[in-house]
Amino acid sequence: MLRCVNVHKSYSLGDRKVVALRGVSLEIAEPGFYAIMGASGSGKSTLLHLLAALDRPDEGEIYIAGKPIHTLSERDATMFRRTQIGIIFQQFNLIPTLTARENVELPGMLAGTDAAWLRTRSEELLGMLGLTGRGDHRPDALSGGEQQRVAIARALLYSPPVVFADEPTGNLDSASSAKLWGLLADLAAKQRTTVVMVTHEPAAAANCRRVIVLKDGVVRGTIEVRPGERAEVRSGATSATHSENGQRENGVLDAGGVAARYQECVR
Amino acid sequence: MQAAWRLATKSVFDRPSRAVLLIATVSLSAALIAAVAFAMASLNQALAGRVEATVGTADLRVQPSGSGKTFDEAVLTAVRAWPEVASATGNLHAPLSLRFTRPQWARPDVANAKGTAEGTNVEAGADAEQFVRKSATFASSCIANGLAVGGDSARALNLLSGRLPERDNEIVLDKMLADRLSELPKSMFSAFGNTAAPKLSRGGDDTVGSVARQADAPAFVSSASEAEKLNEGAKVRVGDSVEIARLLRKNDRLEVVGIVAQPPLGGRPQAYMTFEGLAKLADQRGKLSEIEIVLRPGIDAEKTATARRTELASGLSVQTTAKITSGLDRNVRSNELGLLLASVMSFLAAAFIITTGLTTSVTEKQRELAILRCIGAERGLLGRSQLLVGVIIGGLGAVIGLPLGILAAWLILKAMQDQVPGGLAMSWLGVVLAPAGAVISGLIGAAVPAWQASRVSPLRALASRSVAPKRKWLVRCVVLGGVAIAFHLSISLLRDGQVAFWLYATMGLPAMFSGYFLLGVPAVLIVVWALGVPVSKLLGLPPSLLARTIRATPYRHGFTAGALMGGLALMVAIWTQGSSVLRDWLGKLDFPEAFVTGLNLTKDSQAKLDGLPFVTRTCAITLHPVQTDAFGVKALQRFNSTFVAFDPEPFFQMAKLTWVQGDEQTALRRLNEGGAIIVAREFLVARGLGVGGFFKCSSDGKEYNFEIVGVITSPGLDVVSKFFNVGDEYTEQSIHAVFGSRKDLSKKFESDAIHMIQIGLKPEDAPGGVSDAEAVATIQRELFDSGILDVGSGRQIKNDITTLIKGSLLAMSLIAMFAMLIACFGVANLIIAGITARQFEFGVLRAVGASGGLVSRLVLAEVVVIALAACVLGTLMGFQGAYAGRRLNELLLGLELTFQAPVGAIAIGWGIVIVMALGAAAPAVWGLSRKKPRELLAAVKG
Repeated sequence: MLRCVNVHKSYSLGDRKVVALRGVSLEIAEPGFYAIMGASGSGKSTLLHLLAALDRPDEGEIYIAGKPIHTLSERDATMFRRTQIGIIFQQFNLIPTLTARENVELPGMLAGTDAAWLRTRSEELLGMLGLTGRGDHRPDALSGGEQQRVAIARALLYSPPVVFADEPTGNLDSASSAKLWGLLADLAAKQRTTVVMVTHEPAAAANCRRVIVLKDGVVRGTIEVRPGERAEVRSGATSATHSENGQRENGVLDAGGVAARYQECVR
Repeated sequence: MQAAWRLATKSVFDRPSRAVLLIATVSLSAALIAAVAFAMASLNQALAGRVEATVGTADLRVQPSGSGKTFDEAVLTAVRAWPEVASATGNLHAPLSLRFTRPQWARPDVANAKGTAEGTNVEAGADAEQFVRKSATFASSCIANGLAVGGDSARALNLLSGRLPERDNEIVLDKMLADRLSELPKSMFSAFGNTAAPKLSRGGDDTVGSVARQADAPAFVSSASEAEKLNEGAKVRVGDSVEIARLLRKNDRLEVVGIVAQPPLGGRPQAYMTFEGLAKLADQRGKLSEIEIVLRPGIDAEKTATARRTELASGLSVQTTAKITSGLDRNVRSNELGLLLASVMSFLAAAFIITTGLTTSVTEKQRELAILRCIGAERGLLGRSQLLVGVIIGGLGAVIGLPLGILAAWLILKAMQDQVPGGLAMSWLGVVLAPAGAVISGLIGAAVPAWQASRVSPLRALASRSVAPKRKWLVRCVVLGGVAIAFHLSISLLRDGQVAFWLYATMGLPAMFSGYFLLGVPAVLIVVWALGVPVSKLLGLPPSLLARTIRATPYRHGFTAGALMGGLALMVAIWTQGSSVLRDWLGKLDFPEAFVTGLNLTKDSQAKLDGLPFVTRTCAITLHPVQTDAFGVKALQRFNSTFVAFDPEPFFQMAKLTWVQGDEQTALRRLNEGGAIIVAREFLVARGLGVGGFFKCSSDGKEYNFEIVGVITSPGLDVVSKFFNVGDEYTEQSIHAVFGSRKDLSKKFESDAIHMIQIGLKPEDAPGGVSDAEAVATIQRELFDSGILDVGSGRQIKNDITTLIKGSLLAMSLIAMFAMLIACFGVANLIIAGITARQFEFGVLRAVGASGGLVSRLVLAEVVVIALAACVLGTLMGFQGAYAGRRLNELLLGLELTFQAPVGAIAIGWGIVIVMALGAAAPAVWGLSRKKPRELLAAVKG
């Protein structure tokens, strides 16, 4: 699904040159919910931007669904972002003057897709995400959680194989955040989509199948949060007992477990 | 394209108030251009109608070499015998002096005033506040035209009431003449008719008229409105009789049978009689003033004129009428070019406003644009959508502006329907130019924002980092602006007027405008550096806050100033140039102390003048038009000049000539010898023609060469003549004069007509001396029956011309103020956009302790800085424009105008700009002051 080979990236910040990634290599072979975790300045957002074809690596290779995106032209990268991937941002990034439905349909409008199909698809997505009846509201009339769900619907318009989420719960309260993580996990399972989430929160990462740990621009380790998990329907949260190291009975890590393993990686 | 269109419409209609302001800017510019185009077309139509009335369908015209003369009607018989002639018609014109006596209600002091109203029969019991009935006599001279009964020489006569004359004792008056016979003219500048004259009654309620004319009409009335009604009713109308004054003859009476519309745009008052009636009255039986010839199909008019010229008796000339109409066509073309240039400047100004508005909008929507780029919008798509925004704004501006402009033109023409009777005429140029210019200005205005939008980097725009303005763009603005301005200035260095004009019109003006627009950026920085502290103190702001704010976004502030400067620049240029014309041209003209003009004055008229006690001497003058290419833009205009003929000795004694080259003694000798002329100074300035050189001109198809024996400051005799004949010479405008002897006039141009008699007056305080006004009134009275058309004093005419020029300056200042108003719509849009873009910044200021009032005052202080920068830019640009105009005047028209800043007009202009800018910003600033900090801070989200 997704593969990086020895990716390097640096950029200028005023007079300074900042090396964000120093030879990152990783591979995600199956659909599922994955996290890239690291502290501020670890290079996680830069990596996400490269994976989402928003930027180009200085060195290295990136493949998404077998396509080499590191060699895409500006125009091809734009087309790629339009239909081959979905992007969810921390600050929702909805167009404030469009309704929720219009925001969902936006990539389709850019592509000139049939309006009737767009209407049907947007209704379907809004319904799937619990936003039935909210389609005609503008973003300022929606709660943070609702806005983020609209952003997710937009990302899923063309059912892309890969969806990237950059700290999607950064602006949400804990309850909304938990709901959203569950939603993304369900999405990955039901739609057989690869969802890659950038986060610094162990609680967020605990919902993922695997966490890739970044520090100072290099991959420091991988945490298998749900070892052996396959894409299947999960009905609600399971209550399980926790062991001392944060691992549940079924081997799944909770937030504390993720945090502990994370600390081990970055030490 | 559909996606781009949808993005564009969303962008325009999602912020309707700001879109409305930009659309208003464009629509007002389009309306201005459309109004001017339609008004010009209507004026041209009126003039064409006037030319057609003169020329008709004739191909050729035979007339005497000196105007006002007549010739034997046997010539008509001879012309009709030419085989190439299909038809020939003889016309007769003659000057007439008319009187009309009527009751008039006026206050006793006015009723007793000297002049043509004579006070008699004061009713006992009337006091000074009441309006007393008097018998008043009004007089006017006119050109009478003989109409062949049943012929078509009554072409283009627009009967307002009554009918055409059928008997020899009947007369038809034009409205100007009817007004003059009914009221004292308000000023000597009567060429446009008496503008205060109410409309003639066309029937309907005639009660007042009947009352006014009855023998038992009230002797006095108390109210001004009653008096006005009675006076109105007593004016000359169909059925009245007028008296014809004739020299040494019993005065005849003629019955008024009709009133016709006056000729468009003034000219001499006209009257119409039967051909025989006029011939008898003017003692011109068997005589004609001109013959109009229609040639058979396929006959070349120019060749016929050349071939037949020699067959005519001396003193007669034959000319193609195409020569007359071609002059009108050239003037129409030059006016259209002027309209085109004005359109370019107007729409360029609108484009600058749109550029600044849309650029601010793009900056404000960086995040939105970045989101679109992230989810798959191509660069080209974003660029195209911005261009379409420009097209939408321009298109809507055109849709609103064109009908608005046509309506404005219609209203103006309605107010001037006496002078321009034809009403509104279609202007295809206006119909195309206004909307095309609006859309193009939208496109040009959107070009930079489109480029900006297409270059949005998704990552950079999504990052919450502020970006300092790049210094390199500031340097580029300074360099590019400076180069553009220098290019405009360099055109003034050219010596060839023709090349200079075309370069200036096509490239110089737009370059200057664009250059100053770009210099708006350094201008605001300089203004805030120089005046930031006092402005901050005045508005109670912390010392460095204003300066830091301006420096953070210098381009937005600078281009707003650039958008605002245009109207002030226009005003400064108009007043600088206008004041120079008043001071350096009109001020230097030494008009004769007094003069009379007439179609064909005689030695007897001159002798009568010599007999008046306050007259020192007189000099007979002839004004003969000659063709020369000394002045004007060759492809557009051809200015003729006037050959002023006089008897040298009395002329030199009377005229206060200033010799630029040559001397009086030598000039006098050479003029008496013949073949020599003196030229006005403008010939020396424009073409380097001076003493020892030769002046070439042509008249009636013949070429003449005169030796120049002197260069003088013009005594303005040609100006005086044109003053009373405005509109008659529109087909061929003449400018400046050459001065020669009557001997040469007779020998070379075969003319001995007298058009003007220059009169020297005794000083008022000398024995027998009188005031100018008294002298004029006495001359008018004494020479009423001597064929004079107008009497005037030099001082009065100079005052009237000064008033006219100042009036024109005021009218043009209104246009400049309108331009400022247009710019203010743009400024309002920019202030709103700026506030919206900086909401988060204002939120932070509020959050850390700034009051709502301080934030509002900060925005107002920015507006003050913008307005001051606009004032500086506008003043400098106005000066530069005036300087270039001065140079072109020198090269093309020979006018030497000095440069002096009109301080008063500049001060007023500055005040208007600052007040208008603050007014435009006030609503947005008030809205900002009412917003809570939380609202402002929320602007960073989503």
